[in-house]
Amino acid sequence: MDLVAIINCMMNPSSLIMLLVNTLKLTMLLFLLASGLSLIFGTLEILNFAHGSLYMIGSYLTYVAIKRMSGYAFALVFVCLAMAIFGFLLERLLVRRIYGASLFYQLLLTYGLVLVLDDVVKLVWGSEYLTVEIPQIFQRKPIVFMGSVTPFYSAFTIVVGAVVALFLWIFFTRTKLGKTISAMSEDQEMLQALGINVPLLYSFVFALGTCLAGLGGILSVPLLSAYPGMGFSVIIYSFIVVVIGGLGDIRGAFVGAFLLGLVKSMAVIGFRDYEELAPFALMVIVLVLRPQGLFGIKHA
Amino acid sequence: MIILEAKNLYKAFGKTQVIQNLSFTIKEGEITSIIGPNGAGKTTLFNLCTGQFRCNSGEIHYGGHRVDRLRTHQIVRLGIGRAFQICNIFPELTVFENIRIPVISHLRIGLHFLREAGTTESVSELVFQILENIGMLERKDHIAGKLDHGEMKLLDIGIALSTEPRLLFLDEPTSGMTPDERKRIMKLIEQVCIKKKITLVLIEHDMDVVFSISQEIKVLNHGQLVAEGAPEEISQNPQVVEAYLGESIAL
Amino acid sequence: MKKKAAWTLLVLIILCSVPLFIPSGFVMDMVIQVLILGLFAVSLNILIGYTGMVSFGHSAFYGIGAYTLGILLQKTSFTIPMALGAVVVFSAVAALIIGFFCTRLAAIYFAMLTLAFSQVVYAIVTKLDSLTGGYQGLIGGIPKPKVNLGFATWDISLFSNLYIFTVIVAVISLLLIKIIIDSPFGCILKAIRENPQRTSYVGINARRYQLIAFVFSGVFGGIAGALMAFYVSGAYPDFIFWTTSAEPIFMILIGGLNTFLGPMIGALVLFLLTTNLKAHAELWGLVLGGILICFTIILKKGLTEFFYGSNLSRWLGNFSRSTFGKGQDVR
Repeated sequence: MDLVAIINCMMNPSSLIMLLVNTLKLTMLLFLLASGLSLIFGTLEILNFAHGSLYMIGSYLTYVAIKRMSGYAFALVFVCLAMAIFGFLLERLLVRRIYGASLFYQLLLTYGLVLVLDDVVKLVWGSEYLTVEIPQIFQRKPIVFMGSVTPFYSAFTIVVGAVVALFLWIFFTRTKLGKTISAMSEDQEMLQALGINVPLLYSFVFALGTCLAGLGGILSVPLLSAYPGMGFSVIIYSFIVVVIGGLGDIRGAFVGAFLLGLVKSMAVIGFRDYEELAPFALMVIVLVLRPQGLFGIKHA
Repeated sequence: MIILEAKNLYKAFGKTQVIQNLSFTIKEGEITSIIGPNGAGKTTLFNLCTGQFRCNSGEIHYGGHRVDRLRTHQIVRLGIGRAFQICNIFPELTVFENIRIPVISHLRIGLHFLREAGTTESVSELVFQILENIGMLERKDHIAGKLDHGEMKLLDIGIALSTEPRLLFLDEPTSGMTPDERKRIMKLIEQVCIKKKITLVLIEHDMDVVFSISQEIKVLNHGQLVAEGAPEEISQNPQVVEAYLGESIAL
Repeated sequence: MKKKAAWTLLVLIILCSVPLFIPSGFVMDMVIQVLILGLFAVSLNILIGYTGMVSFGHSAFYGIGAYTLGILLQKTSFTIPMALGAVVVFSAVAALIIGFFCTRLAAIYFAMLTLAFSQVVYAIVTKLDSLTGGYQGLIGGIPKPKVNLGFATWDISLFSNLYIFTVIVAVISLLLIKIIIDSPFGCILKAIRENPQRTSYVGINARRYQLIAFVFSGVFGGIAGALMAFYVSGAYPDFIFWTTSAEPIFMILIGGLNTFLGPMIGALVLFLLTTNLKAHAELWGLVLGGILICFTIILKKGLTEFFYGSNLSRWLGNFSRSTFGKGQDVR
């Protein structure tokens, strides 16, 4: 482990900023995924193992949209809408059949979905990596600040992530719909008695989660390309983030995403050999100290 | 002789103070009922005494040991048992198997990997004996989850009795019972518990039951001990009568 | 006990006489694979079906068993019995370590942490490439030194002898698991599955029992991995990858959680499916996934009642209640 390299990096303002930028970029991408996962678990009590595959579908749809449409903005909107509809349909057809089922059955259904989606993607688009260029609007000069160089697209990613985080926070704490959804994780019967259409809300929540995952796919595809099985690497990280942060808590998802982003960024500098192990080590440490995650609620 | 003593217990959940500065003693061999309105903290008290929750401050002593920092299974091993208000049995197992579990634990053969549980005579004998004591022998092969409410309650108490506790916490033993079932439970409590001189602490809402078998009544409200004493004293305590017992109470 | 011994002997005799009466390579291959995969699944079922702990990282032990056997036989002069003994020891130690961390957690975190640990093992194994061959795996074949039985030496490199060796180890392992399940310890495990809180109220330290169950599960999973490594004469990182953890889960789902040999039937079904679908490799995911989805939806709905009686559906309800911690109504 190269502590010297890490300390050097932190001392030097330009590399420190680049470390931070890299961390934040990872944070935002992870947060988009983890927030959806956490939301779905917190409200529907479903552990969605297929969340990474939804991210994958988002990436593939982006590939299609950018090729067919002129204008990144249109592509963005199209994919978000498509993902929301896809999520809505998934919930209505499949997910709602396992509400209340044991964890075993939830993981099985969603794992089956992963297998199916992976093969569907292979059949439609083949097994090779599909690359997407960074859209024209973002091909600008990188941002230079105190000696650090930040690619414009990375800055865009960070901004989008921050905006989404802000939006989610406002939505859940200030709007009526958002507060109702938060209440759902507490007491569904009460809400139903008040005449609120709980099944529709469930579909909405799942659609929102899917949309967030898709957004993660949209943002990352110019950087990472689209390929079958890309969901897996990301789902493990999403799980780690959500577990660290505490299942069901969106603040936790953000903090967890930041910690993981930080660990990964530092790993590249200081402990390359253990880069893959580092996220798991982080999870083990957090769970040993706080078995319910940082913001989770302790069960008796 | 005092078997259970609590000193200055405090327990809060978040901002809600559920138990405040609660102190009391339980005498060995006595039957004590704890009464009070819903939300008074009675079940929380049981949870504190049996290690399900940690008290924020205060001490609990049982039979010479300090138990407020111990885990549930350790407290049970010292001789405390608990029956639950909402039946807490092993639903997929048969009645026989339900009783077998605490018996295995009591005989300390839980870590015996090589014997066959089904053919171990010492286990079966004890289980049959307990089943007979609680009057469930004919139902031994019934799936526990399919029993009717009264029998499930009996089973629940039976499980608690199988570890041969010295002190038994009974949480609303007669709730939801028909009069016949209630008689059965009370008979069980009298015959088995009283015969074996088990110290009983009950949470009860049925005042007939409370006044007929208790030697001591403790009244809880808002997490505090409001009154305690023999049934006659409690029934004549004007505050208690007004607030909790209703106006007419037949002794 | 006598009944078990009799059954074991009968099964051993039947299976061992296969090379004599049906000298078909295909049949013997099928028996070996189904036995090994079945043992893998039955070992996981100690956790899932009997103790109610859903582990998604069982491939870790499969891989540890495979690599331990392979490395020891390739690089040291360990005899086969010694190597098998080492497999048991290493798997047990790994299971103790992993289990210690995982059993402290509630069900959902448990599942994810077991998955994470299996990936950690994967990362470690692929990193130590001088020892394990890295991403290539342990190639070059696994030597099969002759086993010294005292009165003769047994050459296991012969296929029919390899078959008999695998059958004996697998069947005896299954016998041991059955003995454990039927013991007082097994009773407690079932109780923990049903109602962990109540078990603590009868004086049982549930976490300790869960850890012990985890160790047993890991040990027998390791033995299954070792047998497979022996059979295919190699150990590969794929053994540890998370997709390998999904196979025994599939077998348990199909064959049934609540019966001892249920997962074995699931292994047979999976084997038949794989061999028949080999031609259409691209659709494997689609088919397996589709089957999983259908089964999950149907089983949750009502096929349960049809096949296994309503016990399973009630168990599912209880399990989900205990998973999400809405067990007792506390005032």
